[in-house]
Amino acid sequence: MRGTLLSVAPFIPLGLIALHMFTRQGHAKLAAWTQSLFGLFLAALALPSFVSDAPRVAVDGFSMMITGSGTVFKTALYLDARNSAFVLLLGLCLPIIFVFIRPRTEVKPSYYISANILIGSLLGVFIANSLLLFYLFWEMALLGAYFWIGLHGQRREDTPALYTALMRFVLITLFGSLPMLMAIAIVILPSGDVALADLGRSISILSPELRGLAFWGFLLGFGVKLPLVGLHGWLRDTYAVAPPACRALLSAIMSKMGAYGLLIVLVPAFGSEFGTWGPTLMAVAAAGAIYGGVVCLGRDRLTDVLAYSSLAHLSLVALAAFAGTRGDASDSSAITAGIFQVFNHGLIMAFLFALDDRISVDGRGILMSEVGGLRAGQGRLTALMLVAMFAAASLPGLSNFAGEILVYFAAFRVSPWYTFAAGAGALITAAAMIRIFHHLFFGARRGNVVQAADLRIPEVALGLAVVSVWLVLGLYPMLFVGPVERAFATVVAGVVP
Amino acid sequence: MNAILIAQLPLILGFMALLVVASLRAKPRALLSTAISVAALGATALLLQYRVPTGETYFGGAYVISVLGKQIACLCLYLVAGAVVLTNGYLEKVRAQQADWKLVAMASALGMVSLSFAGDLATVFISFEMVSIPSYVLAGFSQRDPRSNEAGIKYLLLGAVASAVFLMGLSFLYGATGEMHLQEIAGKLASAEGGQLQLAHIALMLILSALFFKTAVAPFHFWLADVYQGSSLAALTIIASPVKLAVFGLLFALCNGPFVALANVWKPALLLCAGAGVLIGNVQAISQSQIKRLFAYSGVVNASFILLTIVADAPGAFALYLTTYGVMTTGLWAAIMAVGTDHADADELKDLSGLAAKHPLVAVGITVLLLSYAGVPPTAGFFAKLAAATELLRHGTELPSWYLGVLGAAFVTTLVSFFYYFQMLRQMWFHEAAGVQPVRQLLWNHRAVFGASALLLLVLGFVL
Repeated sequence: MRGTLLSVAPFIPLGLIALHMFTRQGHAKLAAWTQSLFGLFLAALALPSFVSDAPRVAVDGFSMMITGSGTVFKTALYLDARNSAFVLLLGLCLPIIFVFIRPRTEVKPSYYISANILIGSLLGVFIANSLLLFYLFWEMALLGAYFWIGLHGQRREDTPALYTALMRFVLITLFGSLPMLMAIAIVILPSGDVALADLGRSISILSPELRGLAFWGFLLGFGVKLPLVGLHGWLRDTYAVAPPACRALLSAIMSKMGAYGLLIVLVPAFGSEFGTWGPTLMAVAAAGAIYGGVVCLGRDRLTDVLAYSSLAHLSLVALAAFAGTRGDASDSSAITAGIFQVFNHGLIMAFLFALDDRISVDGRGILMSEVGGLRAGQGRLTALMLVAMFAAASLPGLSNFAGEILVYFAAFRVSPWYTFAAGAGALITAAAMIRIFHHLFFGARRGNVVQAADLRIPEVALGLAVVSVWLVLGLYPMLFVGPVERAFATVVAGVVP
Repeated sequence: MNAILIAQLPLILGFMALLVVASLRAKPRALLSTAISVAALGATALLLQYRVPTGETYFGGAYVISVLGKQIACLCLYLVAGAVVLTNGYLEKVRAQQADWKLVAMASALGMVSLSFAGDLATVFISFEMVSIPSYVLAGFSQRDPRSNEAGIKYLLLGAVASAVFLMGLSFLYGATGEMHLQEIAGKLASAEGGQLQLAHIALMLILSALFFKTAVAPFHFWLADVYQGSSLAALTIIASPVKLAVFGLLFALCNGPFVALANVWKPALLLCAGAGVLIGNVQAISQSQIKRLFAYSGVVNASFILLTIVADAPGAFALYLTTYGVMTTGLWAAIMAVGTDHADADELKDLSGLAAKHPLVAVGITVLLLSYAGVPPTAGFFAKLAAATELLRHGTELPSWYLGVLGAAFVTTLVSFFYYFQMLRQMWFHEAAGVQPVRQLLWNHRAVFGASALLLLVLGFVL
């Protein structure tokens, strides 16, 4: 049953595209309903993986010979607790994004068509069980984002030039994904398209040079999407010009494509490379956390602070990935912590970006230096924003705290100093977030921003549901961590079909 | 009667029928000449595919039927048929005679078939000229357009030099081996030494130079942008696609046939040209604002990828790349024909501004074509590039160690190509139409060819 649902899932966005193509008006309302239902469907698909005896689901799909190369292209899909975390995250974020964030004017169907191309591709990346299919969805996601931002991005005097930002996003992303394609070409060379779990076996027969090339190719691809510090050149301007819903999806889910690649594709397969390069890469991750935090402190605009906090927090995910399986292949604590942190971060960022968009009537960026006392006009939004900010700042009792602590524990065993540095970065980020929240929402009313109406009761209820997820997982993280660890152990033991 | 002659009979009869049709009055001439040409081209392609046995030789070894030769011949015939269909409603615009144009295209197609199966030096040269001479005519076909005349003359003069060089290379090869048949030349070259070998090396270099010129491989591509710019879109559907593909077929057959013993010379040479092609082609394409010039340089880049498949001696990947390139190019010219006004073609990139608003389906189709050019999955362009890369890696041990550098350059410069292909997407999707542009009625034939191309590019990479 779950196998059938898994096979159907990637086609649902196509159905939604068709629906928007043939609908004349009311797209925003339609999207709020359909995307929420699709999100619930994904959550229902993923949740059984977190029940202790739920088996792994694998769909073989069909295989096709790629003309001319003798390479077989497989359309296999899979679902276990590891990638269910990503699917669940996508499922939970969709209602948040499409209920909270609606275009301010009636938009053309292309808005929702490109959104669904992106959403379907993101889902495909998380459930694909063959390298070529994974890459296919990977690139389709870029196309969805390109058209969504290009057709409906923000062209205002306070945002960077739309097309320059978009082109930078595309080119930097491709700067990562083309080397990744070369890596895939190297890996599929001896035995054709491979399942993700077989990647380690496939690369074990490669020469050291080709293996090294494949490693760096994958790392660049995943590093740009995450992004790792140094590869984050696209981040700020893209977030600034993207439509708010796209921005939330980019931060909450699209960046997780990179995390997924690192945690589930790269680290389990390239153990020996991480043995050599792990410490250096951990240093890069720690530098990213500090850099993100420091830049957050220097930013005036809430959107920018959220963007750079994302860089800092995802650097912690990278830290977990690079701490990886060093020394003991059966020890999955770092990867599990990384996946848990991905889930927490995604949910928090979707929520924060959604609330950010609801502050002003016109959706302009809110500057800390000019605006203050917003609490007076938006009490409910302020309350939910406060909880989300605390969650992002890793307040004990909320899930992000549990995730960060697990990352630190795992990374500490490999490198205490880098862990300490990354922790310092996270601390600075937390301080920057609380600071901007304080300036914007508390104190006397300042600035001439026209505030939007406060959140409606159904929206507050949705927000409280999200908060309850943070609370439950913050108090009992084993609900999430246990199944992921078991799924990882199954892969290490080599019993995955 | 032998099968190859029967297979070419429809083409010859069609050619003769067109001579009669050319004398008819204008009105029935266009449709009738199209119908005759397409029927003849299609019949020959089908006969070649199903009635000519592979591995046979004809006319005392002048024709050798190989699987790859059949694939290329059929591909060229289908592409010429597509080009012929496209000219309906377009040739009037460039004031060219319908039947005459198709006569020349058919003559070229006959040359392509011969070139694909050429088994000895004489057939190689005659077929080469049968393909070349009609190309010169087509480039300068629009007599009242000075740019077309310039393109025709430029192409003719430079092409004549290439033909002379080619002929000299073939005669040196004959001198070095004393053989006319390619299969026997291969045997002689395998045991050649001393002066004989040196002469063979010179012959190889001359032949490669001529073929590189014809296929616009860097650094022999200097003529390409000017000729493309001056030629009408109708001429480009022949010059830029099937003509090039047929000559590439010959290059593959010669390199991995008689010249296989000299692989240590031509493989580095091809790799070097491929590396130069991806660098020069992409860098020059960035600054182009005219559609034809942009795709001229894009052709240089694609030629480099085709060279990689020749170096890898991978007929499957080679055929896939040729097919993909042929379909993409024909589709692109069809699309550009479709979106022009009644009096002028879309010439500059900015002429495509706002196309998505005017003709959303055409914009979607061109988007598929451009994504295939750029190599974005799931289009055939992606699988063609992937097949080229994997095949080259598979044969990496037989190549100089710097081949990885060339492959790396090909991938890195693909990034550059995204820039200019995405500029076109930007014009179509994100820009408003510049001024008031007369909207042309989309013709059925343009829509059919270009729609079919876009659809083919979505499925071509796979064989169920």
